Amino acid sequence: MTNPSAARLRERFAGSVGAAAGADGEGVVHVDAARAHELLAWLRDDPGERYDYLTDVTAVEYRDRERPLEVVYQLRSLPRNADLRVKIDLPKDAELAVDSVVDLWPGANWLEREVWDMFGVRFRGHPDLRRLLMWETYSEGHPLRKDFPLRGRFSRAEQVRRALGGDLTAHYSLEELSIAEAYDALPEDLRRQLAPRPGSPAAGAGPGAGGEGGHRVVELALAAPGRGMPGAPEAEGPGSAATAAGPATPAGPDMKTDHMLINIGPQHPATHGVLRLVVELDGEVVVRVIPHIGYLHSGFEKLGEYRHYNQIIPLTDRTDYLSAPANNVAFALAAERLMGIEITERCKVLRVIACELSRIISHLVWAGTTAIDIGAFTVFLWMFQERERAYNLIEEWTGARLTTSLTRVGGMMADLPDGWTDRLREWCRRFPKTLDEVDRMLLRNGIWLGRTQDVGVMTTAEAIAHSLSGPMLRASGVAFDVRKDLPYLDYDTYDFEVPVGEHGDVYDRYLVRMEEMRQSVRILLQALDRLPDGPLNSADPRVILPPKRRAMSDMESMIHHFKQVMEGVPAPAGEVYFPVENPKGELGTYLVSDGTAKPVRWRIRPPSFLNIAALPKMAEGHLLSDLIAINASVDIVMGEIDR
Amino acid sequence: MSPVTGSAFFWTSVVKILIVFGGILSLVAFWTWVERRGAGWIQNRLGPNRVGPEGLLQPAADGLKNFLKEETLPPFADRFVFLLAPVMAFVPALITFAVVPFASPLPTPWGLVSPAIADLPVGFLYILAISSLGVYGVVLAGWSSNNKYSLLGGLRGSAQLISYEVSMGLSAVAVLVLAGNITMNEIVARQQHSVWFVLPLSVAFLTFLIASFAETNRLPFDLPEAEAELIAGYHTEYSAMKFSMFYIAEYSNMVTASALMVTLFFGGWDIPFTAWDNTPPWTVLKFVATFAAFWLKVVAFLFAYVWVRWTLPRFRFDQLMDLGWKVLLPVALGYVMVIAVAVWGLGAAGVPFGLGYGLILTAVSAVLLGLLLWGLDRNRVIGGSAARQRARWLADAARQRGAA
Repeated sequence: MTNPSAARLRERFAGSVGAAAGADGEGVVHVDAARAHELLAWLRDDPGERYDYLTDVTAVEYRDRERPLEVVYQLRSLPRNADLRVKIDLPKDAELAVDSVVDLWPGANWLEREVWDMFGVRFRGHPDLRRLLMWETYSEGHPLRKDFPLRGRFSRAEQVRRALGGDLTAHYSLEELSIAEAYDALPEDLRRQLAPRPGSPAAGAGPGAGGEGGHRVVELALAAPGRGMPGAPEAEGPGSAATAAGPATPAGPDMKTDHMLINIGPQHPATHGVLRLVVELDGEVVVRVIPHIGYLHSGFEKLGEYRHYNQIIPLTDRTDYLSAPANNVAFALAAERLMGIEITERCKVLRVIACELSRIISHLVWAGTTAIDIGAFTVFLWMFQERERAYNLIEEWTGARLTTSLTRVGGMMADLPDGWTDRLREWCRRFPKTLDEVDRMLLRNGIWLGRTQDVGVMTTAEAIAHSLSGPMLRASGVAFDVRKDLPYLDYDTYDFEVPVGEHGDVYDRYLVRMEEMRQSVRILLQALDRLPDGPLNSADPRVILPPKRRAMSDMESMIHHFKQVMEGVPAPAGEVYFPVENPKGELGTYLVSDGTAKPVRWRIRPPSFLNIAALPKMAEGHLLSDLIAINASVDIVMGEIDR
Repeated sequence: MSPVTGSAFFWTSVVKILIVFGGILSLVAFWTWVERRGAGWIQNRLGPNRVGPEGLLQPAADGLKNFLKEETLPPFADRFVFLLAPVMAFVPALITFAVVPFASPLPTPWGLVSPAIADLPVGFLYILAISSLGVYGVVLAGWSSNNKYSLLGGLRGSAQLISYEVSMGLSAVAVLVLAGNITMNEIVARQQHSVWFVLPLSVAFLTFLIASFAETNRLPFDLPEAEAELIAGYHTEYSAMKFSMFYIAEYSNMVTASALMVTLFFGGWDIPFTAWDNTPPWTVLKFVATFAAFWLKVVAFLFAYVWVRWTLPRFRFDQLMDLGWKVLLPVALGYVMVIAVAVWGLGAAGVPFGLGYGLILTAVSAVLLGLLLWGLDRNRVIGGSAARQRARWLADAARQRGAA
């Protein structure tokens, strides 16, 4: 079954559309790199298609060296509730470059930067194509390429030496250099370095050509003030971003303003992890904010390519570590769809319980930390007390509080302990009282309203264009919830409401998340009511280990056990994109298999990565205090953003 | 009995200084414990309860820790100013208290001892003058640290303190109009003969209360520190005892501000509903009773500080400025005029100063206060919109279900 859009595409762009395939109702279209931008624009704008939401941009490199590298655009039409995956094949012997779609979807900004960083695919016309997860002067190549060794090319000592040794620019933050006013304050040798050098290899080349040394990047950054807001889509010609504007000239005396540059983070109480925000302040007004991420980058996606499917589950714990059970479920569901495994009814209900419980836990952390960022300390502790109680339940179930590794492909790691459901019921009865109390504390408080209402507004159109998801998207008035619109785990049979905001400000995000917690309680109670007896794990002998007793007594079972553990479970060749509604937003798991026991590509579509990418859009023009409130309202977790 | 004179005056003053400052510092130490235990109480947790009975010795342990910690001196800081700043914050916070009378006069063999350290005839002006100096501690600390966060904190602090100083002074002017005097003892005496000024001057009390929260940098006005934004703001770079001095200054400011509110609006050391304590002959028993009454009131205000801190979120800087300049200042200014006219009218009508006089003004102020709260609230501050929002969602959802 192919997606109907594929046929229309073929009709309209004859010759540029290659193979179209369908897997599990997902449409995949291969298109020609030259006309990809035009084609994507048509898909976005054509009234019959209206793929207005860019879910993800990523790339896939196959283990087979002959196969071309693929750049993957995962599109969604919110009005039609349809998904389409557009792939561009890039032969490896040619230049790895495609046209940027930042002008179509501003949300593609960071996604494309990540692909450039990880795969070395250049996006022509991208306004700010710098490394994202790795540091700007990283010179070992592109980590997710198959020829990149798992351990990296350089030793840690060599990395430090290269990052700092002898390179003056490495001691200054690029944004510091990019403030034109700061030019005069720089040392003489550095100014010489930054001055335009015609004929130098850097002057004529865009990013990607040659090494990723410091100077060229610095020039790019220097050009930034003249380009307006970073992140704003700009229709510049391909490759012109780095060179057209050139380095900014030192400001004249009348340009001298007293903008101040401060680093918020990576160590800062309000950044919720190791996020670094470089903020340019005019007094207290935020003129520019540039988020820097990657301090927690652990290469999970790379690691996943070297692991069996079940071995990846512990990695998912560590992405969004505030909702580990939900991540476990998301990965297991994707792997099961890839392998074509049906899970049991009991397993489905238990997974719903895991998802909703972790949604509540995650939202509790969010509400508490947002409150403390706005100064309401008490709410933080009230929320955390409830969270501890929920974690006690999780601990009883899984043995761990944070890194649960709750699921296995085809089933669960453990069944519920005795009496657990009663304890969950009791918690569900008591816990909403805390929510009500917090509502009374905050929503009748003029200071809280003043601090949250009309702060960090994202309109509906902006939220869609920036690919926000989850509560962030719903607070902006888009009634899209994966549980309702692309149901999994029989969510369509549960009775719950999806709260939708109107204003897209911090206040609405608060309301949406608070209501989601109440709705999650409803789902939990329904799940407890319907929890069926019966087997926990799927009967599929491919993925489910034989019981320990049989493995120890029966030769066949032992061999089976051994082979399954040592060799893993091969998945049929194919690919799957499986979205779930995680607490932070849409967590997509994109798995590509070439028929072996280890995925070719395990891509996490991280919701808070895309949500925080819109921070400059939301925060610029607000006050410093608002920046903190907005950053808190996004609900980020760095483990997921950096992966 | 006549007041003490000569060398007896000197020695009694020394003793008073020792007692008052020792007492304030002990109260400050004690209050850090109360604040943390109070926070624990409000937040459903225990708070420090390990050191000594109920954790009462925690402040001593903290003090010891602060003495033993390393004194850091950032190399990029302006050394002299950096060292001066904690002192600049600390000293005014303590010496402001010098003019506050905290009990009835104490009879001694050498004469009658005045209850304030310095019974200045210009008591209130002294308070305004000295308490304004506290801002230098904040500004200099923020500037000399040579840290951008500290600088922002210092700037916020100076803007905030200066803005609210004005409203604070103006709301106190209403008290002065009514008291007809700026000697603290006289202000107390006038309240003893009429009603506590909190009733006839309720609007002034409200503005004074808000301004004193702002002056002490406490939540919801703790913007100069704002740990979530500025990471302790102006004292980011301070450690050990220098850091501690800022804390002691903050708590001493709280004590002084509470004492001022008690003195100006709550009758000072007056014991309500009896005239026994107001009239000579002064006895030691009266001294003890009024001393206790005064400190009880102060402690009640101090607890309000704790309560508010663990309840409210923080203002934003522009909201803070708006509140100070666009609300508090006009209100305080207008109120001074209203009170001045009322006092003039009452004088012209020949109403004698006393209980009836106070009650008439109380009625006037109650009307104004009602108008003010109604004007400020507009069903936004107290009403909140979440309940309505939730009801609307549920109604919408029900409608959709009905339609489907």
